[in-house]
Amino acid sequence: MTTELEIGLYIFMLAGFLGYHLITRVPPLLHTPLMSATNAIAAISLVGSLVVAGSDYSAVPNGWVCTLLGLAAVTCSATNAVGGFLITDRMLRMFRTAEQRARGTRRPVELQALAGVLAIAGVVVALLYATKPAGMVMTEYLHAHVAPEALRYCYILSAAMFVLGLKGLSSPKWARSGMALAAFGMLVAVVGTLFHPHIVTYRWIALAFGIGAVAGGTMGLRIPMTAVPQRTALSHSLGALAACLVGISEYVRYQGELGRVTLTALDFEVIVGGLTFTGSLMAAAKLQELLRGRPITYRGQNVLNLTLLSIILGSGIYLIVTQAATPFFYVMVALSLVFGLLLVIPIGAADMPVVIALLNSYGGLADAAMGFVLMNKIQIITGSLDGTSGFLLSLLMCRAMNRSAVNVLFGAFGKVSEDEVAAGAEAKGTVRNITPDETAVLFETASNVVVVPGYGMAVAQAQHAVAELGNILRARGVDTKFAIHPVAGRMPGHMNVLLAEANVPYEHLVEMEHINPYFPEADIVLVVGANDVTNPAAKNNKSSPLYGMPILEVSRAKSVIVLKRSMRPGFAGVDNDLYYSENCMMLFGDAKDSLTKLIGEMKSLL
Amino acid sequence: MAYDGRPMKVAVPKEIAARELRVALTPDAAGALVKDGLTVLVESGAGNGAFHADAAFEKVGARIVPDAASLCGEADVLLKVQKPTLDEVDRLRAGSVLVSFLSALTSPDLVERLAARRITSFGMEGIPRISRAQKMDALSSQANIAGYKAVLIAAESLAKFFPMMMTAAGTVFAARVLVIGAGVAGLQAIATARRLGAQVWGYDVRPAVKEQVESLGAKFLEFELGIASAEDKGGYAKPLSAEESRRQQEMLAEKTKDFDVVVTTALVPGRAAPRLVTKETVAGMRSGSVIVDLAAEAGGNCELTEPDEVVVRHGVTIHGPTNLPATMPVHASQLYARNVTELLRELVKDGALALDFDDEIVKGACVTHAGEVVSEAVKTAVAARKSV
Repeated sequence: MTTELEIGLYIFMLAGFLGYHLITRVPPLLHTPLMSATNAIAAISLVGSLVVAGSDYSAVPNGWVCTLLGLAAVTCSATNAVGGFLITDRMLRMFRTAEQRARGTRRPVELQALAGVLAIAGVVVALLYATKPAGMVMTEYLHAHVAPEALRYCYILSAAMFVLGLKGLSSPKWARSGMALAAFGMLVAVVGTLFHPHIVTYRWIALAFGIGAVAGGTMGLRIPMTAVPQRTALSHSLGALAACLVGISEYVRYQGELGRVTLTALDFEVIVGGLTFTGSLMAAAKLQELLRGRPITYRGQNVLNLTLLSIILGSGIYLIVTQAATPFFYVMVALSLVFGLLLVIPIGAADMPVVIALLNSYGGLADAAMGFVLMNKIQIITGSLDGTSGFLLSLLMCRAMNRSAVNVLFGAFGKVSEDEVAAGAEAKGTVRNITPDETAVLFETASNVVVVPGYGMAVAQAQHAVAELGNILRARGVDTKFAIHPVAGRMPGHMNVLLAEANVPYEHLVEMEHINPYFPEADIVLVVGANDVTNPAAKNNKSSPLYGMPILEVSRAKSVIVLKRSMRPGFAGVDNDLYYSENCMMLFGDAKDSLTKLIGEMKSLL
Repeated sequence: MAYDGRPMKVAVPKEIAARELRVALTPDAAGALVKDGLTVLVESGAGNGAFHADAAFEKVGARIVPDAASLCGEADVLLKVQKPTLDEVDRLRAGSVLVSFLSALTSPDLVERLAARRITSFGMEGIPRISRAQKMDALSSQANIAGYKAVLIAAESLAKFFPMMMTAAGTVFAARVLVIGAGVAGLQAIATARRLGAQVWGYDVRPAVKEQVESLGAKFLEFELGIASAEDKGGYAKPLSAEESRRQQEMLAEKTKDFDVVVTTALVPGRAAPRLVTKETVAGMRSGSVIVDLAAEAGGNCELTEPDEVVVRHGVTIHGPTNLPATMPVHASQLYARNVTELLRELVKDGALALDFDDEIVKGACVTHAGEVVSEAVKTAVAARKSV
């Protein structure tokens, strides 16, 4: 094993762990931007593509093929990078904090970033002039001494920026700045790569990059937000295609001269790249409804897929063992393209988010493999980050959909369970769970909050925690009110007694008649152990024992978070439809515990 | 809106019972009914006790009638607080509606007279305890006041501080308060005693109530009685057997010794109040302790209670107030007026009385209609009293 490979494997492993830890901190609220962001970062395949496109192939037979493949890869990756970062930024702009909204103006992240870039460029130029030995011509100095070093520094810098960028996604507050940093990291990596000793010509690269940037820019700015999943899938396919093309190009270039280790990585790169390319195309087509969203199944599907996979793997192993130049390689590539199609065909449109996250992971792994082929460390790092994050994300999504990963990954792949989900939705709808840290993140962006206390607060003796939450929110400039239903609790004035004990000022308590018209303005309604008094059945279900009782119309708020011990019904013994509505999330547990955790998380987010 | 072609007339007489200062409608509530299209008649001086002058009623569109006789002669619906005397019933027009506390389960003569006079009568004590009817629940709204006031009376007559104080002149320990019966009055008593700084325990035969007592930050006094369930389906307490009741007395006697204040609120609907605090128990308490017995009207939870009297026995001051809500007439009337208004809105559709005897609220509250006793519970109770 060479030292290079050893270091590469260490990097791969550590970056994987890092990715896992960064992604676990990302709240579900930001999962979609996260997917888009990792997708943009996966465009690091651009770095490898640049090297391949710009290399000198004069000594290679059919060298033009390599250049052409490289250029195609550059175009794909550039589209991916530019489009990915733009659309992520658009998405993140929706998560402005109350503070930013209060200021009224959009935070000019772009200007800050531009200023940062210019400042750094200035410093670099100044440093260059300062360190240049007297009498030496600048270009000569650059070529002889700076170029090889610059590449390394650029890569280290951009690796740090990618990690910090992903870290930023753990809170809506930092997400946009984080992504700006990651985009800058990408820029640094690309600029650094231009110093790569293998690159001899820039003309074609500039052209391909230009095409990619225009395509990606148009896509990133024009595409409607509703079409983001399709775009992400399409972007994956381009990234994966780039990886695949670079792999092929490398194979064409070196043919039989490749070592076994490199060949293994290269096999992996082209196989995974190929199947991710077609698989993502398929996913995009399903989401765009170019194809039927319903799962397409046929007899012997699994057998066919397995056979195909065996052939692909067999060819790969044969290549590694013989190390020979053989047309088997191209057969393998073609088959993995087909395999990608077959893999996604039986999955319904409803399961596509999971599939996209998974394909994201594959794309990352293909990138990492490309990093091993080209021995490019920044690609190993990003590929590994991407691979683990995508995988973790798909697991989290499975959990959110209440499905096992095995169920999604193998077998009927979304067919049976989709029916189950549909049946469940018809009966009751789903209950959305939320954790205290996710709730804390939601509070970050709220500017109007209504707290609805009920008997559950009394039982948990959570009035002090509720009061503290109110104080924290008010201190942040969030308009916080307490909505008191006339029959909340088990005795007249129950809530008043408790809230007075916790020193909630009387003027923050609002009667039902006065608060009801205000609910549509509320960003978050926090229901602390109140049940029947929020049950919409009292308004619209004549057979309900609650019918006719006036209620707090919390469901008209933008989002509702219910703190509750369990799904058990309240005093009247009836189920509450509120809990199944779109904008309602359940924070299960003892109200005092949940609030204490929530307050802790809110303080740590500051 | 019309009743037999003309607007329905809702009438409010002056309460005649001794020390009764409440009134069935406040000017605000009367105004709301006028807005609903009803005619509101108020007997001159009816609101005086609750500090509502005749002028205030006139201002919201009610008409002042000089005396009760002419008021009753005109009324389609009579709203009262205290159960009417037989004379008051005789003044009502046949076929008119009466809404009031009636104590129907324990007043067979009144019920018979109401039926005989063909009055459609609603007893506020019969409002079922369902979510929809909570706004009409006058028992709760008035018991809430009684619970609050009971603790104030206890604090007044206790020769001690309620809260704990550590001072340069030594430490004063907090008063220990036991509230027996954790219904609405009991819970409010617990809350009020807590607010005054006492150490508070609650006790109830229904173990399910423990959670509610603790929800107010008080402790629950627990001992084993070996009873399966002491709660009826309406959420009120059920009577215990003789043996169970004796055991409960013994246990309470043992525990009560440690308390400075005992507030008793235990009632079983339609029956004499359960005897929880015996002579011996009182004798075992420290001198200077205070008992406030909110069940005095129903015979008292304490054996030594005398209704509407304050007595000192074995050094223990025992209060037997029978009508605490009337000592806070402003808020008591405000809450009661809201209760009757909501009930009236439930009963009156398009300006005319529309009774749906399948409706739980009507089924629970309506005592007599068209010359018949319609309430099953009242029918049984009246029959039982007659057979004795």
